[in-house]
Amino acid sequence: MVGTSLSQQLENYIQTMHDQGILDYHFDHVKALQNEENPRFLMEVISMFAHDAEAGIAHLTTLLNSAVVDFAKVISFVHQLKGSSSSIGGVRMALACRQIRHACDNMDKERCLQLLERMKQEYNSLKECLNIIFEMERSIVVANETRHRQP
Amino acid sequence: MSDEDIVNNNLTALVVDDSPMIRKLHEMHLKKFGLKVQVAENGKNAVDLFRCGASFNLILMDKEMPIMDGAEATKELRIMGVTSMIVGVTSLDSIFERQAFMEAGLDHCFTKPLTSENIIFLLQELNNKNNEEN
Repeated sequence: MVGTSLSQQLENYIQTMHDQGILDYHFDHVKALQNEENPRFLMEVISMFAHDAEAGIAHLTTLLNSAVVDFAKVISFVHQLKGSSSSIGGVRMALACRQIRHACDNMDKERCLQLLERMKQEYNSLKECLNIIFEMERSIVVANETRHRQP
Repeated sequence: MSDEDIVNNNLTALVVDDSPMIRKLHEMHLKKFGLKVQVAENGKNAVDLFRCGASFNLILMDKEMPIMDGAEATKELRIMGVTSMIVGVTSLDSIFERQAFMEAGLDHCFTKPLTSENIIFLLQELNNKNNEEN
């Protein structure tokens, strides 16, 4: 059946992301929350994460490129990004956020800027992974909806 | 506490977090364990809910939120006489920051993201609390 094959492909892809260290087990917990009443839950969470992450990264870029850095505000945004990335299983991005926090504690602007670039790279890797998962999930949802509509 | 007891509860929960994604995750997670869930996007909204007469067995409280943060909201709720179980769920790494959050009046504090093990622990604590009160 098309749906089963897609599901297996998705599982295989998620395992590959685990093996590469891009996702940890928290992603599996998020996926496990999806049920028949909320078949698009994972897609919604991925969309929300991407929206929040991009806004947060944009704020951080502006703040850290200011002449005088407001480290308290930087910490606030980094803190949010750490929470959301760890919640969706983006372990490497969460680690990069933690490193920025430590640099903020030392009020080290240059180090923060270096780590911001690293965090952006980790986000881009995570985003690419989540986009693929999103599209696979969408195909599965559409296949299931088509199957349910058939007499 | 059996698995059936864990899911067949009449417990209510309030998720307080400024992140829509985290609110959604925690809400789904708690609903999976049979709790009825409401959400609030900051500490002030949570306090206002209680002032309007709402009550919840469990409050999941983020620390860093605009308008009123989790520590302030927790202190305010305890001053109001709220005896709900208030559990901090935070990304804070610093032991001192977490200790300060606990001292605001939390019953427990977990690191984000919340896990099923955390929720099972909380349900058992709530069950014990109910047994003591009855």
